[in-house]
Amino acid sequence: MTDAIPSPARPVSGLHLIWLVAGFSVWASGFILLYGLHALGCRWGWEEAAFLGGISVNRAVLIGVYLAHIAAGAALWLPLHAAAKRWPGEGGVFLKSASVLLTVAAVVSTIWIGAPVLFLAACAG
Amino acid sequence: MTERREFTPLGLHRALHAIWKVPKGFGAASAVNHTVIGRRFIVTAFVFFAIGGLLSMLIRAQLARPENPFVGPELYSQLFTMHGTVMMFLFAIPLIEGVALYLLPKILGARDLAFPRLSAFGYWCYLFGGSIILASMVFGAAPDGGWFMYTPLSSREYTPGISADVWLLGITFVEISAVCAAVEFVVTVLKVRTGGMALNRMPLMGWYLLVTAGMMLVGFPPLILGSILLEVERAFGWPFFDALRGGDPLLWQHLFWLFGHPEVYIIFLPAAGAISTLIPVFARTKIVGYTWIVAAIIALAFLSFGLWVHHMFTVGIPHLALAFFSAASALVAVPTGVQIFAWLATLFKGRPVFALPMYYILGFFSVFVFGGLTGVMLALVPFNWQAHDTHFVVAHLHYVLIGGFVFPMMAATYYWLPQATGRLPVFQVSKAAFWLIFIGFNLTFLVMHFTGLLGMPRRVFTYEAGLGWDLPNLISSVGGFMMTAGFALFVVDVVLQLRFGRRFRRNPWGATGIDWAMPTPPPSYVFASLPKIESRDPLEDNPKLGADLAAGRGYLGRVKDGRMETLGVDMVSGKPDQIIVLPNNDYTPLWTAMSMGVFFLCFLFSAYWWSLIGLAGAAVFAMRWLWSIGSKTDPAPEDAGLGETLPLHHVTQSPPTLLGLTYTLIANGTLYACLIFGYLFLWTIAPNWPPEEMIGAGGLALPAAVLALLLAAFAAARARTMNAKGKARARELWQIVAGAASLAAAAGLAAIAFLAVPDPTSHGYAAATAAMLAYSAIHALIGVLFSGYAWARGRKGWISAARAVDARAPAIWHAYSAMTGLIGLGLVFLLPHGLPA
Amino acid sequence: MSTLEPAGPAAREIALVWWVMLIGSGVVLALVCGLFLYAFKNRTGLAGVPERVWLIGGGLAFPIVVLIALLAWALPSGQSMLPRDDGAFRVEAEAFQWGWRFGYPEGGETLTVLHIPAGEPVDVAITTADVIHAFWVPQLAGKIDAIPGQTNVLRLFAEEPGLYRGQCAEFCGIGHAGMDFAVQAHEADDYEAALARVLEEAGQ
Repeated sequence: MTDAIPSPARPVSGLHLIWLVAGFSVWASGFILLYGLHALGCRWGWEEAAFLGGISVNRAVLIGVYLAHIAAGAALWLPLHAAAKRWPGEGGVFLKSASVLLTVAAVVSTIWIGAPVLFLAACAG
Repeated sequence: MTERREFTPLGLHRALHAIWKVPKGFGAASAVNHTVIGRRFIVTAFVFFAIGGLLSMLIRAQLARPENPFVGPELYSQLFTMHGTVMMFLFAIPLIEGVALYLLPKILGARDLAFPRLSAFGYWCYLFGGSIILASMVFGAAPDGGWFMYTPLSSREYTPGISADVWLLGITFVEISAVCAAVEFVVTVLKVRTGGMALNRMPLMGWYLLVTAGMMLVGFPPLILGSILLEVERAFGWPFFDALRGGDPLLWQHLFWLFGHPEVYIIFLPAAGAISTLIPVFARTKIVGYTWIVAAIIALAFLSFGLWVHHMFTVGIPHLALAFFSAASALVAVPTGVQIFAWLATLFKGRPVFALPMYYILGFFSVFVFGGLTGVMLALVPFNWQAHDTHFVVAHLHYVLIGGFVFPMMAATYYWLPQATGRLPVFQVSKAAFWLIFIGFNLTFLVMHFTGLLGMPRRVFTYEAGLGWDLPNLISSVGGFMMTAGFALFVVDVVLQLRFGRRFRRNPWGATGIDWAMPTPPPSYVFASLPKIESRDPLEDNPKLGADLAAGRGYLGRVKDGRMETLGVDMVSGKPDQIIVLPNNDYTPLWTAMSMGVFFLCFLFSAYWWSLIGLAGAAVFAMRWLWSIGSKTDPAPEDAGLGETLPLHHVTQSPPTLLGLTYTLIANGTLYACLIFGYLFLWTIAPNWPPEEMIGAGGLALPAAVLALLLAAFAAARARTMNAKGKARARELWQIVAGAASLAAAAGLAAIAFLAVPDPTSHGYAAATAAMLAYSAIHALIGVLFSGYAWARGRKGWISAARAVDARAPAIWHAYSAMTGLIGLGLVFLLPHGLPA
Repeated sequence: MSTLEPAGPAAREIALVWWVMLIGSGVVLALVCGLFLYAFKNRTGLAGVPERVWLIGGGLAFPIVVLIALLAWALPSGQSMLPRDDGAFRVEAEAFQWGWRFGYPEGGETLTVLHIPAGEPVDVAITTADVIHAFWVPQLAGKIDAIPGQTNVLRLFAEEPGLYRGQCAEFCGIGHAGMDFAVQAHEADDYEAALARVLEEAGQ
């Protein structure tokens, strides 16, 4: 984890702990981007710029970021499933259960915190 | 190679204690032992708790009736500022650190933490920083801007004098100990456990403290950065928070609450860990939903970083942005709910007994749950607009903090005090104390919710009669004094227990964790030999485990070369992979902390050049500290007992030191990310930013300086590779190149920051740009120290292809510095050119 | 000064949110504490409930349903309280250490008492001359901060004429406690005349 020298003695399993935080890292990225781009969009007048069918550029960007992060979180399922197959024993069962729980929780959390972009006014207040 | 002498249990005890014991008298200042340092943290924290409690009594005395002439507004401002500051920074966080220091090795099956001297250093920083803050109160210069120090009230213009500097510098000094503790805890939980303790067999408390420490790594840097920026504004006039000069006071609020909200969960999680430990013990069963709880606390850790703006719902941020934070603030109740129902399920699964600690757990359940519910109320934007900054919020935060932290910690005290003292409690006094505290607390704070809804803002030193606030305030004051009487009785009870408590043999509660598989009070070396863990309940597997370990029938049940040893394990599986040799009692942490104290005190009194002496002293002592560990020969693998033959940590691929450096850089990187956030925040918030004439500071000098940083990173990486190939000469040459390039970069960056950038006092953009460049310059300068140290270590024979730590560390550091240089180049050079205003 | 005696639609809605949540919180608190104590009283009562029901039913489903309902109410409700571009009457409030200065569209300013028409929305544009303060009239609406370098707008609506007490809510130095003010709502028909009288008395 700390160096670039490959070594046969080095256990690789510590790296698998990344699966405990992968889902919520996607969540965090979504949160930061939604908050940041929203602030920029309202400040730079994206709300007044029409995109398609009456949706502003601002809202289109926010919904795009929102859906992309939900998709990215859900897409973690494939590599997680592939990796978890190589985790042996009771420790592997634990790591897999915890990772699956956290990945699902992270996707739900992403859906949850970003949902207001779908129905609230974008720059009011 | 490995000599094994057979010991009797008593002989083993004597031999180990001779090595591990802490000197008496003045020599105790050199102690690094986690039991000793942990106890010091805990006792000091409780002293600060008493001081904070007395301050709160003065507050309640003043508010007991309307238009009370007891204290004036000047003193009252100091009282509530100091009460909040002491309770948050000098009581709650240090108590967590103390509990974790004391417990972690004992629940993980280690003899000490990964970096014992860092524990000692952290304690001294805490003690000195706390003393500076406390002294200011005695001299009448106590901070008075509220414990969150909002700018511009806390800026030089509105708070002249040193009171705000006391807060900023004192708290930063104390927070050094928090970051040190965080690094140490993460490395310890991941790496310094006993054999067989796979992550899934680790006591839940280990998970709670791991997650807490991880949160501290990324939670404290925003506060530290904010404090540095505000102190630089106050000292040198760099206008980060001055709206008139292109700064923004809201940047402070963002940085403060980006720390401040996770902080609440940093305080709560270890307390919840205590609940998760105690409930199964007193329910005579195993915890329900181990995996769910682990997932819940990791989710909680992340979500808690998405709540900070709910402290800022009234600052005028667009409503949709508030909605993100409102939703996240409500959502955070879910992982908390999972834990609460896991605890309830555990109670129903077992045969619970209402032992003494259960009283405080009952207090936790009722008070914390209600605090959580009012938290959900405050998460709702419209309600928050009414309740914000009123006594409703004061009541809510005390429900959460006392319910979610103080009550569980008192339960934990009654549970683990016998472990620390070898004596059982004197029951009746403690129950009376509980009821006094519980009833007094609810009198004080339940009523206070209504006081707030009746319109009483927080932080008013007095109020008019006839607004309906008279009676509730009187009730709160009476309740407050009752609660204080309860805490006094608690202290009496603890003293009685220490003095007259009933002695016991092992494990009075029937616990199944290895923290009870040792003599009580625990010996200096904790475990005479380290247990092999085969389930989550080692004492249930083998009730005689304590005796077996004392007899040396575990790992490392030996004394060899007078070394202090513990095991290092593979992070996930818990398979032993090294013997970690720990450092003995040492004064260097004390000297280093004292040097830091010189720095902070000189800075406080505006002796800025003198303060550099403190920093230089700290650097010298820190290198002296590092120098004393290591080996001049490549040690052979040794028999560690129970059939394990293990290398010493000097020659392994993943020694704790490098992990520690990595996690330090994560904290450091968070600080840098916050600086970037500040730079971009000021950019988006201020009109016409950056001013056209300020763009592109330094011309081509900046790319050149960053190129030097890249060269240093490359050279340090070459030095590491050459070392791995056993080429000592080439390693030394490359290390010199790295140091020289780093020095050139530092000089170049500093020159640009101070000469080419427009005067940093003129505009927020100039200040932010200079701060970005100064950050990289400081890292380049530290890089010179890294390379110089590594070069000298190599010359003296401390480095070999196998003992590579000192060759690998500079490569990591220089790579990090180069990365910050590249980002700085992009932000202060390319971005302003690419995105015209 | 009480938020529980609302005199405007925003304050009224928020008071309703409070009462609903107070009752709901009481129920949840009673449930959790009741379960906790019940576990000691009757050790077999709920022992048969599977662990998954506790975790998924109690820990996940229960809070999620309640929270979705609360957010679905509170978020649109908050949005409805925001100022809109509907040509509402607009006054200015400048906070300073330690007092309030109020300005009117036709010119003139008053100290400490803000005069508004009753029965119609009034937008207050809030600024500060020095540090952060907060404008709060609990019976009419929630609060908003006065931040250096920006103008925040709060919508008030007084249903009836009357005098409503206000107070600075953000700590702003030693004069913070004395930084109270009042909003005088006049009959809409009489408002201009009343304001003129006030300004005249003040010598403007």
